[in-house]
Amino acid sequence: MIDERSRKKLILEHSRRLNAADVDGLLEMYADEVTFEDPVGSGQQSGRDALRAHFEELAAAGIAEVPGEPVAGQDGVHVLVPVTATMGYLPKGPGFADRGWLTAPDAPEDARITWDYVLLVRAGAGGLIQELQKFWGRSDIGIP
Amino acid sequence: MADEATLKKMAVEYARRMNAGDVDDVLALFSDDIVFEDPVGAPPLIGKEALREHIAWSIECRVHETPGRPVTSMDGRRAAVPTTVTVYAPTKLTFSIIGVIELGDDGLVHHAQAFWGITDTKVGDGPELTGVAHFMAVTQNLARMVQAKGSPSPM
Repeated sequence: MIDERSRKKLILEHSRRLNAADVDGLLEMYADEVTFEDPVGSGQQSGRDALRAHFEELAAAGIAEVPGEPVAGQDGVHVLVPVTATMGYLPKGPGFADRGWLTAPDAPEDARITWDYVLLVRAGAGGLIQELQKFWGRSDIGIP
Repeated sequence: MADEATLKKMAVEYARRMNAGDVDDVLALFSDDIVFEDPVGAPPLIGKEALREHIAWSIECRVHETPGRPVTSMDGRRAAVPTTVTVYAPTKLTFSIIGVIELGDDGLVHHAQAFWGITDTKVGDGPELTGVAHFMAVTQNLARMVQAKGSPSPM
């Protein structure tokens, strides 16, 4: 059980480290047996290696997250936050386009993605994150 | 599977019907085997009759919900929406919640989760309390809400 304020700090710190492209720092926030799903409904992935690869791509794209107000579950483990983010289309965008989640832009090098999602984190012993879920669909991502 | 617009509409439609205050209209959004967690961390309500009581109680407490921007998922089933929920009786309480709903093939909500904590709850309109004072004020007022349950006019 982790108190509500500590969980809220945890999820905001997660955004801070992602924006700073601090992938090692992000990984320190996770338990070894982590599972994650981004976006929800695309299939769950597991393990720190897969998670590192995922964050390295987001960092390479220069992701900038702007988190809203986090809310906590009364179960001692969950915390959620709505996020608006932007990032470069490369390197992650073509994978999204291949899956039909996004229309490929004419000039991929210059294009930026805008993105709305809700981040859900479940944290366990030692305040380490055990599960990450990102809720977004085709209508929550675009290239303006 | 529902399309994304339908999923998002569902999340907002729940708020609209709660605000209109018709229990049957609200219940029509849910399946008979609904699992309803409000707040997540309390024992879930299972089935429509258990939910009826909860919805009727919320409406007696003069609930008003203001949804923010909903987001959805890639499975055509789930949507999440940040929402500000205010109850005006027996005391004004304002909750910042994130709701997560899951629809079945019948287009009805089968699972609903309202995530909100004690630290996401504000009492009245006065200056913001902090720490233990805030915790005590919230829990005392939540207890008053529970005591008002089923009484004819919770004021």
